[in-house]
Amino acid sequence: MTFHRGARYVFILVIFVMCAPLSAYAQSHNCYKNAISDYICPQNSDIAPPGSAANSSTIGGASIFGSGGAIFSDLLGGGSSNSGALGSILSSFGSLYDTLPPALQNVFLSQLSSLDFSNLDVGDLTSVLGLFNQLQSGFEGLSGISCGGSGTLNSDYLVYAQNLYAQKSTQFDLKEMLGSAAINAASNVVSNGFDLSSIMGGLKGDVTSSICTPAPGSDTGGGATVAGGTGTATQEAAQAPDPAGTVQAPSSVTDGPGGWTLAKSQQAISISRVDNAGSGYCAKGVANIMLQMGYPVTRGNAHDWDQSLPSNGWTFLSGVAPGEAPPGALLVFDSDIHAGKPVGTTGGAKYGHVEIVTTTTDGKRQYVSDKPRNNWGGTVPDNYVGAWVKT
Amino acid sequence: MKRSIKFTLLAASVVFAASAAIAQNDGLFGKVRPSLVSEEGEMVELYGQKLDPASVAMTDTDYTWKDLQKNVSELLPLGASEEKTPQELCDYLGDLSRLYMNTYDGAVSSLAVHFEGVFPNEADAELSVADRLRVKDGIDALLKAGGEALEGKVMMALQAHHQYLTLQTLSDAAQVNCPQPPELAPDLGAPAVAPAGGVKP
Repeated sequence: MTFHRGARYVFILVIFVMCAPLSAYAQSHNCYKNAISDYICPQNSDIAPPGSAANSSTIGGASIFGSGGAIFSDLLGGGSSNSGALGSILSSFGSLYDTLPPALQNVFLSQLSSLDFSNLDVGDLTSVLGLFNQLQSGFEGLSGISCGGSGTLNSDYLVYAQNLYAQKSTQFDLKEMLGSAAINAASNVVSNGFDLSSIMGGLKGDVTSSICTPAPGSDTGGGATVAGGTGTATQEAAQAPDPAGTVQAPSSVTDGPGGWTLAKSQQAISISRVDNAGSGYCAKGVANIMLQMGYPVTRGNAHDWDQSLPSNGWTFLSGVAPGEAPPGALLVFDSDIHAGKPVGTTGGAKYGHVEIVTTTTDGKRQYVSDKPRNNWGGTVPDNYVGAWVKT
Repeated sequence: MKRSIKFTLLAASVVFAASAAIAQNDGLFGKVRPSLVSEEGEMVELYGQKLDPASVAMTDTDYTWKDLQKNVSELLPLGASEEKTPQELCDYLGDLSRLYMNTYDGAVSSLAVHFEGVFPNEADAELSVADRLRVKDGIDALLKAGGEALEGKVMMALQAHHQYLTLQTLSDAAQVNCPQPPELAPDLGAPAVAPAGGVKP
């Protein structure tokens, strides 16, 4: 790897100072697994946090691209016929970075670190610069969002809008855009780069619609998840559930113990799509559903549910496999910890998994917790404890 | 020569990772205003109401309120200056927390595209990602499996997760003061119909 000595010293100094606060985090975590952080991240540094009395340095800002732009300048100092132009552009990167709000600084670094610079030229870098100028402009424009003439967002909602905007800005594929001839050929381009209008319009539109149009009862999400898989490799993708907040096909046909009906399956699926259990939070989702439907359960980590269900009047079904359990049954999967196994790196491995067996209107099975899924067991299908029903 | 640029940008990514890591200890967006958190670090005064988010049962995650409390002042800048009734606060935090949840779910979905088939015996990439974001060892696993190009996206998703957890915990804590069915408080959530904030992505 080509690396000029002067630049290397500056680089190491800057990164060492900046990475120092990682030490506290690193006490409970490994350093991030790339060659650089493995090298520079001190596991037990006694360097005081930036901004403290003992360490007046700051995180981010000019030391990366501004005054620290010397890193880039040194790196580009020879061997390239475009070094002057590149150095100028990268200096502009530094100026831009210094003016970005923190949320966009993170986006900036995230997107840049995903690029393969061996395939980029001055025009590409100019395009990237233009993109982030546009992103900054769009970010500042969020304060002008209003919902149906009700005035602009209050500060809390503006912060939310900015965070959503930053997330959306991270999610588009900059690398793909730079390599897209179709985009380069578009009429609305920055320099010789790519079309920005679709991104900018999409970002602000997404933010505005998220805040202003909650669309109660609408069905904007896909119910069916990844097909195939864990424990049910031969199972076909299930039908998307009914629109949230509604209960269609209120069949009174009992298809599970304790009077569980198809309508109750639909209700469980519907609740899972509007409640406050985010991705991966299975126990919270199951508790939300069951409590709202009037079934007694005790909140807690999933791997404790096998202890609490009996005391709430649930009956263990002996010898019933997950794929055979009746609708309305609760399936409990142990954590690796309780199972006495080496602990994996998932929430399921650490806290277990729980879900509700349901059926869709066309008779397909779905396993519902934080959301409906086609496969049982979450990330710990091998840790099946058993099925419980409320009779 | 250009590889050197890549090297330096990776370093910048590490700085970002470091910033996010700092957030684990000092809050995602900076220091907490003292007025919002008691000396004990438990009671929080928001919109004129005293909340006890530390008492909310946080299940299925390594994170506790101590990890999250420093995000409050940045995420809710009006919390120290405005007042709401208990019911208004329940509704307000409920709406905001669902918006942050949708953002988190969206971040998981976006990231999951890059992790299809990465983890053996796990068919649902979204669940693979989400299940790792909520435990601290899981972050390292994602960073390792995703490689350098995804490091920034992983850390942004982690940030979205922390924001969701912060608002969710405050929302749950606020429910204690609201006329909710006792079996649902304080860790409730499920409304009868889709709330403001819409359905999950």
